[in-house]
Amino acid sequence: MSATHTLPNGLRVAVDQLASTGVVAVSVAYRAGMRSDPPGASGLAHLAEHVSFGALARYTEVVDAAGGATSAATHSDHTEFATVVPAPAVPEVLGLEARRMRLGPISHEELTRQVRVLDEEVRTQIDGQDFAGHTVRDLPHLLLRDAPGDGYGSAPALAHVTPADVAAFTSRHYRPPTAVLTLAGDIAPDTALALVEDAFGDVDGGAPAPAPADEPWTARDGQPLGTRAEGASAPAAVRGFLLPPVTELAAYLAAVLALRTAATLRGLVCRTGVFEPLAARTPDLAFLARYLTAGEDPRRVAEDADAALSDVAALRVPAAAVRAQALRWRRRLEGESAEPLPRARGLARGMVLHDDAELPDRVSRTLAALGEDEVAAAAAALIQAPRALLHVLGRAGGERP
Amino acid sequence: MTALAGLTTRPLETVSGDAPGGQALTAVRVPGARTAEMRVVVALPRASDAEAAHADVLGHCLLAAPDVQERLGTLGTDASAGADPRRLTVAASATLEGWTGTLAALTAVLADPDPSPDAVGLACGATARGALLALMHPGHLARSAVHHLIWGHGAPSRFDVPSSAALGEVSAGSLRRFAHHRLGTAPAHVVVGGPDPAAETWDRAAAALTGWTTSATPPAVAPLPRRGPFARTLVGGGAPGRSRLRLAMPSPARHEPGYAAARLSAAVLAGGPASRLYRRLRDELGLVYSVNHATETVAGEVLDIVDVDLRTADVEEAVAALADALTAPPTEEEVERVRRRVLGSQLVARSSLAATVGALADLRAEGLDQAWSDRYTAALAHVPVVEVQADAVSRVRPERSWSALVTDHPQPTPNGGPE
Repeated sequence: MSATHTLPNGLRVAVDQLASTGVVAVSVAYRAGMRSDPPGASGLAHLAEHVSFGALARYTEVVDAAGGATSAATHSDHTEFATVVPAPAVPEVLGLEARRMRLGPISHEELTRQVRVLDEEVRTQIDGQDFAGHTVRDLPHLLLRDAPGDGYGSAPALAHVTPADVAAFTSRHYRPPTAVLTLAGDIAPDTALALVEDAFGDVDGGAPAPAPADEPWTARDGQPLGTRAEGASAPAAVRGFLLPPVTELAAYLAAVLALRTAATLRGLVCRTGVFEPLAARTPDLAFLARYLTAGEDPRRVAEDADAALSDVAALRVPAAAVRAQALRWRRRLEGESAEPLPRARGLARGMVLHDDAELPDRVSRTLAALGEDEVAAAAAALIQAPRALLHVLGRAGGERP
Repeated sequence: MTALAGLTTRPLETVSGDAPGGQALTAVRVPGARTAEMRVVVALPRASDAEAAHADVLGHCLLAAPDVQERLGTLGTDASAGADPRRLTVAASATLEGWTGTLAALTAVLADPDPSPDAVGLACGATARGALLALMHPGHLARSAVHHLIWGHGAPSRFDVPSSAALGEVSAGSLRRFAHHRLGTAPAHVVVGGPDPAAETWDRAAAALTGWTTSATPPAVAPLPRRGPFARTLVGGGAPGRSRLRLAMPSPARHEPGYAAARLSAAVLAGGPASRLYRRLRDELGLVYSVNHATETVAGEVLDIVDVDLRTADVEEAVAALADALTAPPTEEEVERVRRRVLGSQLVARSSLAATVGALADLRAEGLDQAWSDRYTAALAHVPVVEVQADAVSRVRPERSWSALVTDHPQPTPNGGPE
């Protein structure tokens, strides 16, 4: 890490100077995501992400004309806007990101358009992909009491949302004190901080805000069973798990390694984290899944997943299999630390979710220190903790191909 | 070095040459990288259903042996293999300490592929599931329909997805014979990237490749049938309420004059979120989430592809918007914007190790080299606006395209829609 700084308006900034490639990534993360949706407005955080891009029409022109790329993602507890551009375009990108913190109300027509585009995104990117939406739509309800609604949103769910609702959301959450700005790439820290000061220095931070509190949550008892009509191209079953809190980093990482090892040994689909590891605050979720054979009882998948974790817990798997998972994760982190876009995103995520600018490096060090016994203990804990089972009937409603 | 108003694309530091085993080996230096990246690309075109089945199954099981997985895991390497209709590609990401061991492990597999009957059985099952999903996918249906319009029953893509009958004929023995023959005779390209000087990386990679010999005989590729006239078609198979629209326009090939101008005129139409189609279909009308744009190469012929997934109810409006977007030639402002976009995107891609190595592997597998890439970059920077406009007027036209609409409701649409 080259430099960190906090502006008087509360905006936290981190800069990491990387190799001289002529490219810089800018990531802005806000501490508001799907779990920030007000009751009865599931998908509002996701819609606010779309609306903010629609309101910054020039953003696309600037980034596109520079040959850069930009993306936005609404996660459980944060929303991130990440852009990578040739270095000369950085001042304009920062200026536009500062404007995102000062958005005014939009028209009804623009809101209607953005809801339609969001609905298309969900249909094409989530509904059409096998095992894509379970950690957002299904497993929270099975594993947690008072789980939030479907944070992706949809046209029906957002039909009653008004421009004022969106404006209220962005003015509350898209503010300097709840945001983190990171730059990574071919830029000197002093230069970067001066550009940030110039772009964001006059953005009103508003009244001091208390640190966002996590909503209280309670796991459901037993092993709840749910059914989804669609969600995969063929019948399948999904075994859901709750991960340990990230504050217990070693236990969290060991649980992810246990699940990945179990999945590799049994040929199961594995998702760790609502979207990916360390991209949510507590409670974070994971699943193991597979397609069903003709007429197979979905409970067999639960038994398979639990048996695989039991093998890990009892050290009945090759030690090399566990070590390989840790080595691979550390190598990915090492690779990401050298490239502007993943580095900027990783730093922003660590800071906005876990108040830790060093999180990517701390994860690597913790992985290096984890032993087989800790992974075995994590596997044992997973099969003692609440688990859920989701039976996916499949789009075709027929037999497995 | 190509400079354009603040954008500077430095030539890559690369070293290329034939490895002792006959593979075309390229090493590239990516400053600041902290890991290493590899691609092995073997030409594997398909002239029959049986070849398609063997190629796809080989892709699924090439690295499946437990000892291979254990060796790669010990090194902290992520590796994958897969076949597409033209090639077998092995991709690996490794540590700086472990990349030569990784390449040696991959070399051993490529030199003597010996999948077990169990591995072949599992791979056949996975291939069959993938084939069935592909055959139901509107994107595949649209692509096949467009190819049928262009090349009729002789379209090479008729072997893209193997039949279940052909998969039923794949055995451990037949796969081993297929793999030994093809991996020992096909042109193979290896690209390795990392932070070290390219010459040093090349030497170490050449040593790791020892043990795999290929005679690099270009496979016989049947000539394409004569193209059919521009036409449109309607296909059933979309999900309820959903449609897929695909448009294909002929493009100059990479080695032909006019390629750079063609890339810029296509980018004005559909390249990225500031393109005409993206602006109109998503930002102004809210009809789509994204507009997919790509070039597709089939037996040396290049097509510009535009592909959108949308509600069936919105097809008519989208088709009208598409026709509008294709009507007027690019303005000078649009050409200069996409020129900066294309050049800037090259610079941005080079900040990613995997993107750099992947792009080089694609280039080499197309029979092109770094000198071509440098000439192409210079051509993008200097091609006159009038040439781009002329390309658009002569080539990027609704009446000079093939298109397919996959829908749940295959009825002809008014207003110029596919029929």
